[in-house]
Amino acid sequence: MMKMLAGACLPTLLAMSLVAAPLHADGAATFKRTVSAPIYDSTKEITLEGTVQSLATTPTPGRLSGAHLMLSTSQGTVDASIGIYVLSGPHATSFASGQSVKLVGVMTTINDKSVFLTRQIQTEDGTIAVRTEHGFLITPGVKGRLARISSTGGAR
Amino acid sequence: MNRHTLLAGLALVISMAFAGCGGPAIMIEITTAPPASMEVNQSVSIAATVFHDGSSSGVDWSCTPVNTCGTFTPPHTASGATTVYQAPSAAGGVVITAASTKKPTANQTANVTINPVASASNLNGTYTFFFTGFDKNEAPYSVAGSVVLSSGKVTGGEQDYVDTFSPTIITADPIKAGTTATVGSDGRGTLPLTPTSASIPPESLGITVVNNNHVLITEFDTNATSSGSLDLQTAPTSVPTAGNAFALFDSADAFVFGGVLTSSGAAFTAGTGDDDLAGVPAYGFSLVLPLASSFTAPVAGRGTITLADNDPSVAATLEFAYYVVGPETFRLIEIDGLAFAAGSMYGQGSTSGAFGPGGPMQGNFAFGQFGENDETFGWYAAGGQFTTDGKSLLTGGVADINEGDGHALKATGLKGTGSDYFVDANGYGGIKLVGTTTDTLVNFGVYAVDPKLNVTDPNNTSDTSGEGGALMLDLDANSLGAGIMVPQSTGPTFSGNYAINQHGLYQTNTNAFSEFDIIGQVLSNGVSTVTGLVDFNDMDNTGLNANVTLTGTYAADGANPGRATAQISVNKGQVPTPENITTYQASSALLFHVDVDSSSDGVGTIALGVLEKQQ
Repeated sequence: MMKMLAGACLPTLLAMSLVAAPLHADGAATFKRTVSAPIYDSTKEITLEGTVQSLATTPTPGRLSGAHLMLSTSQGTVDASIGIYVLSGPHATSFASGQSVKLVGVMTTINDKSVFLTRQIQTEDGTIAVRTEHGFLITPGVKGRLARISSTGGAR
Repeated sequence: MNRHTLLAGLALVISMAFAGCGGPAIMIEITTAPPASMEVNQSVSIAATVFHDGSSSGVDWSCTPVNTCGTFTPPHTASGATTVYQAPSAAGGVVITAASTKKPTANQTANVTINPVASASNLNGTYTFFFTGFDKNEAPYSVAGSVVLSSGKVTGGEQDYVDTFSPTIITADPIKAGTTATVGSDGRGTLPLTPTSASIPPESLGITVVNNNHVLITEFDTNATSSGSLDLQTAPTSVPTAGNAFALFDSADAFVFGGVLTSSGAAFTAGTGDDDLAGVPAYGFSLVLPLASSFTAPVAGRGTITLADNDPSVAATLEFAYYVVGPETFRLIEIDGLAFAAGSMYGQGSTSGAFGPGGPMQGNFAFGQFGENDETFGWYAAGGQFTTDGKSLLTGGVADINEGDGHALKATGLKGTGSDYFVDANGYGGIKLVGTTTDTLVNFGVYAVDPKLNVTDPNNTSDTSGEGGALMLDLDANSLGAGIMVPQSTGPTFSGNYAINQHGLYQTNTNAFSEFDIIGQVLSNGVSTVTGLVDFNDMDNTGLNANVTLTGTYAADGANPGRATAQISVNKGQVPTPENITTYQASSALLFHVDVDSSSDGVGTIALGVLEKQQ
């Protein structure tokens, strides 16, 4: 994932820096995009430690679709969204009540309810990647080698 | 004097002759006759007049073969009144009988030949196909290729296959001859493809013929589930010329890439693009500098295209195989493993370089969009419609957006203060939605296509209502995706035979979710109901469900013409039914539909699809 494309060597990057300003005409030059703040803000990542209270897979009104771990922590019960790929597929994982887990992610509020968007699950058996650093779910299989040179992209 | 007048006169003469013999005999004539041939499920108004029936008992309608010859609504009419005859769903010969209710032996018949919507024997030539979805490991995969059909029999072809699970990238793999397509009277059928490479599982396609040049397809087997299309390849030596729009989506990497490219016929000479890699969008970068985009001439309808993503933070050239449909339509699949993008490129025709915010980008548009997001269970679907003022503003519009976040947005307004758009002369444009009514969907890339090109049915030049529009990309921090926007025609109807497709995911009670695809055929009565049969690939839950019934009701949204709400039920499997969907109609030939079920309804389904009129 982090490998750079072989062709994107230093001269290329230098050349690109000279033309980094968007090339466009007419409306594009004046069109102002709205840059949204990321809901999954990696700068606000925290680690939660606790035990599995229950695993919820049934759709519940107002709650994010997908599977949820209800976690007992020192701060109380936390609703942790773990997406849709953890429980199925060739590397399906199961969770037992009382199991100790450590979750890395971001606490946020959706539909007036607090929910922990889980990026990583650590169990005694290993680490499960749930989301990317920008919060998009990781599908089964591999990802391409395409990677950003910088984290800011070309948004304006 | 026509036949009807002659018969009526004859009846009068006969009645006069019998005037002194106890009154004239009752006679009947089919005065509004059915056509000699009809398509399956097609409806027609017919009428019969009874003569010399003093009781005015009317007409009884019937047909043979009994139970398989169609229906009459109503089956009894007053003399001269019309009934609606609906042809059966199976092809064959039918005899319609109008009989006097008073004297049934007084009757008249009409012979009607019921023709199938499509036939495998009409599938001839090389067809280009493209489909994308999930393999049995739930990993994204895509396939593009061409298959040669002779009366439905596969005689050759080749395909590029990219599965992200291992990953597996197989290029230009020959398709073995010997399998045969089947097509039923309603246009539904199968098309088995046998790859040469052992790394590609055999592909059993479920198909629904829209017309002889255009077929909706799914992979309908236990190896994968996906959706796409198959279109007659009309000009296999075609290369991109003049202006071109493209849009590509890679769900494995949460990556979209699109824009417009100008071609000299030998090389790409200019271009402007956008991308979004995992929530970091970039807008308006060059597609030819410093890294160049290029293409090779196709051999047997297959070539390669290199597209330069000159987003300064990406700086990569992506290599694609492309398969030609026609001079202005190409299916692209990435084969370098750098990413796993796939999509289409369309020509801009004689309008190349002459777009702008007015002209073809002015007016009413319907759209469908499918993608990924970062806040929910990973996927969203959206459909909608909007109006542009031909300058810079969206002056109206609504959308249904389901992000799986527990509350699907229904008929949410798109006209916020400052919601605007632009389209440059090269067809490169953008839409910005202002406000909080559209969840994470805010910024879209817009890449205009030839106003004379039908994006969903590229070989269709007879139905001008489906022509033009643009490819769209969702380019946001919290979501990204791909779709199309198509001009909305005035006063479209939704009546008759339609191919239907749906692609998505839904939440189960056990393993969190299942990916699924539906393909089939429905009959719309033009008022409120649809019925038909579909193949439902419920890959992760109930498996393959062939020939299951689909029934549904719909109601137009009076406040938003073009939008309708509907409930459909698939009589098998675990897709929560009835599904609540919203349709957005572009024309009589094309509707988008988006599922709006959410956890608030006790279910969670993210799905997008189309309805295309069979012609």
